[in-house]
Amino acid sequence: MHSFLLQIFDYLNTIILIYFVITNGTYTVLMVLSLYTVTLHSRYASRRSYYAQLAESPVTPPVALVVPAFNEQDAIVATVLSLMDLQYSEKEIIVVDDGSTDSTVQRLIEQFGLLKMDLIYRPVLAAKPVTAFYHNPRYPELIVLSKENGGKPDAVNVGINMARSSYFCTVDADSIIEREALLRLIAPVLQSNVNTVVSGGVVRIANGCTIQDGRITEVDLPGSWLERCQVIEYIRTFLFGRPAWSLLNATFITSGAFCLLHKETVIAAGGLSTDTVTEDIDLVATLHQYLRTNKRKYRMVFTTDPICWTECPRTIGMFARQRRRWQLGLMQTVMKHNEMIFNPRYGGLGMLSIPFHAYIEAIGCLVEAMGTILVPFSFLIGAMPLALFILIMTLAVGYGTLLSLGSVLLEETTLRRYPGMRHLLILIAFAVIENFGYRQMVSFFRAQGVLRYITGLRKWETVVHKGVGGSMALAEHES
Amino acid sequence: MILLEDLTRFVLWLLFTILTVNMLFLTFVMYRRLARKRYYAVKDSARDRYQHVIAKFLRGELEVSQTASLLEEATSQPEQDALEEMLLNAPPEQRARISELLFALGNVERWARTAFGYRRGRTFVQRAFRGDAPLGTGPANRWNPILRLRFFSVPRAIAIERLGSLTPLLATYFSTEALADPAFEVQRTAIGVLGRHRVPAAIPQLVKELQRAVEQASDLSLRSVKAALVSYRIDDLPWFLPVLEHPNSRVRFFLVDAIREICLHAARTLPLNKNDFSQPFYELFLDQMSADTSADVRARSAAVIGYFRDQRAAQVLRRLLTDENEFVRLHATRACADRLFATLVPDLLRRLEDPKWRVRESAARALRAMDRDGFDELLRLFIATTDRYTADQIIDEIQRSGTVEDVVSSLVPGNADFALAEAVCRKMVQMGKTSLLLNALASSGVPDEARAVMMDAIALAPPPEFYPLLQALSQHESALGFKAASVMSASAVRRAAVGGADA
Repeated sequence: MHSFLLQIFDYLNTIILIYFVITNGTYTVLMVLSLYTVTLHSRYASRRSYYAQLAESPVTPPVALVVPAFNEQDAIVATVLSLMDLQYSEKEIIVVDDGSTDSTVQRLIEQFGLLKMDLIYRPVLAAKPVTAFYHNPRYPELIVLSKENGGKPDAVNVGINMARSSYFCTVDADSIIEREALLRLIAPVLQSNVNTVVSGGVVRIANGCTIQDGRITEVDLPGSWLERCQVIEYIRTFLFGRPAWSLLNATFITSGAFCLLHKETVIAAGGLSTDTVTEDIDLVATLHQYLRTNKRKYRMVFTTDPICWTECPRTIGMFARQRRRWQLGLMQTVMKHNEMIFNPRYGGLGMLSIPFHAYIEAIGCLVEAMGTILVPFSFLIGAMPLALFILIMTLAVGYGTLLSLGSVLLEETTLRRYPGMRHLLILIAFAVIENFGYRQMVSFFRAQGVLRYITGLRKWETVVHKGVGGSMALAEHES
Repeated sequence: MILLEDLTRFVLWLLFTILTVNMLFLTFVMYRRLARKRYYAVKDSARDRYQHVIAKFLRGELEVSQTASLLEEATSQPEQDALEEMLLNAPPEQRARISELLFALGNVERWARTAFGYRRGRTFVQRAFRGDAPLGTGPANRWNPILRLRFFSVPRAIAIERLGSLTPLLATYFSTEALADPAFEVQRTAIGVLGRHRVPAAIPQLVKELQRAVEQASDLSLRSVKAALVSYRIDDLPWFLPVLEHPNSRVRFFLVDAIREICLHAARTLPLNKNDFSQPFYELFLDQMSADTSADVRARSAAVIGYFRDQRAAQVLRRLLTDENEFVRLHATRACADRLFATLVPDLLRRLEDPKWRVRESAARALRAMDRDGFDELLRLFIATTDRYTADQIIDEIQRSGTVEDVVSSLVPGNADFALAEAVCRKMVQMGKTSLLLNALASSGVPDEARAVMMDAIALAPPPEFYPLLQALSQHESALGFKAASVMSASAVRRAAVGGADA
């Protein structure tokens, strides 16, 4: 019996090791590609006054900024102020209040002197009814809509219905957008000779930063280890995963916190759907499917220099809920679009990107979580010698550090949003520290998300933000 | 089965590699931070050292050769960058002397070599300074696919950007050559430089690139080419005449659209009229472009014709307002948003009943923009129309533009526009568009007489929010308070009567 168990552990450890090699091999390739693309992009972009020209150019198309907001009374005014301050010639700001029960709308009315109006609303995408429109002719670009609660995708659909511009940009209500960010996001659209339907940008964590009148006046790192680890994680995700997939024209994930989309295409594809909890990932997959099925030429890009600052969870409880939800959403999306997996009709997306996201990002966390338990357990029951155990653990930490340090390197060579030497040293330190507990914790939360999908427990968990600098409260309800 | 010793060896090897790369990354991160610090220190010091030399040169106190000899010791990258920044930030009228200086310093040749290769770079510099026409051959080995890689194309694009800071003629020469580059980044930079310098001689080249983009025979986007074309100024429009009769209708469309943007830009600083355009240009648009076989061309022509602002233009716009294509009608209505086209008010009013809402919307906007005459006609049509879509469109425009305030302020008895304002108010109530009226009713900034009139109007079809508001107003010991109380009681009687009838 003992030898049988040892045999089983041997097999499982081999699986874990193979998974480790494949996963990290893929990450290494992605990192190399990202280093290449991000460095060149930054070198090219930094030399030119291109964005200043774009700001003035009549060729730059108008963009509607759609801000779905549910109980965002503490963050909404700063977000709208940051959007009004954007360096962009023609923009609409459409705040969609998704049936908030707090003073979200009231705060906007007071800040911008909005008046209730009875405006024309022409729904193209199905959504919950709009109950009120607020506008002030002094701020012609701003419109606030109130609607019955229907969730974020429903609110975005209402925003799309109200938008007049050919492009729209989704912005989370707790986000601060840098002044040039929208120009940076539209630049690839203008440069492309095929229809660019999605343009995604970098999102950073605002915890720790000083915000005044909707602008980040001082960039700093947050104080707690959890938030600092998330800073490293965001840098890693945005600087070396997504640029590489974009280079391979196989973008599968863009952050809904700040993403530019082609309105007509989104409408033609049916808008945002409410059947997954991560509507942004689902929308990208739906667009791929729609465009490939209809044999349209298109492009989805990820640009590394737009910057949107957002709030991250401060407590482990909220963090766990966020990660479970993301993982559940990823599972739902890859399963919903599973006919794209290893489907040559979808090119690099079907053969590389979606399999990577399905098997490594979505399901892989189960292996990761299993490894986190099994490797030490194997050692404890004597199935693994001490030397190998130490080697494997050192390898895991070493490789995790490599990926994170690589991201810090990318940050340092390109965006340099963290100016002080102190910031750099903290980032380097946390590139190492996050491997001792944080990553394992993330694996467990993600595994929980997958298990929720498997067991059919589709719990919708929402993180209610209290504004950057404030605390966050959590609401949980079954869907 | 994997043997434990093999596994251990493999893991050890992997671990060694990973730790080495980690150390490399760490070293590089720290190196980058320190190198940047040093870079800026050297750059700042170079700026301090050379700014008086450059100031003297710009004032004409130093010759090119003298300045070059004083600056030639600045050889490191930060020093070169500092010099470049100072020189390129100088006023545009100094560009010729700065170009000479950059040539004397060897920068021009260095950039040209980076952009086009060693020999071709030198040849192009000689040709450019001689004033020869571009050869259009691009860089050496341009068929080599490796040149398309970003790793190689980004330095070339940066070199073209730098060459683009020379005099317009030199910059145009190098950019035209760079358009033959296989990498789209270089082409995009080159087209941007061409647009920035607005050399009329480059227009045919831009049109050629436009045609290639339209036919999808180029990596350049249509928007990149269009951005270059719209950089031209209204004085440059005669140069567009020969190309406006291009056989490709899509090319014609983009050209007319670019001209529309140029006019729009010019009109922001000074209102345009037909005298701002050459006679052949004026005639071409009124006679030919407005009757083009392509609806897109006709649509954009309407916008350009709007800037002529005379009776002939009005006649052509009247025809375009009834064009079979909705986009032509749309652009024509937009072009009419000018009080000098007051004769077109009846035509615009008809467009408010257009089957396409975008046309209705722009007609409402155009009428509102036509001062008092257009706006009053808009209000009269709002009162008179039985078409729900037309009325909706007008009231949407009135609300968004803030003109409800004007309507409310005219509600004071004795005001010349009282009857019109009151009728508008009643129509709004009939349509259920009462939000702004309720807001005005609640506002103490609105005269009491106007609020009283609004009370009567809203009482005709009161929304649920009306009664609490009346209740609140009736608490005031004033004429308005009594009025509110009487409207409340009248409404109560009416509701009771309706309730009784229903029962």
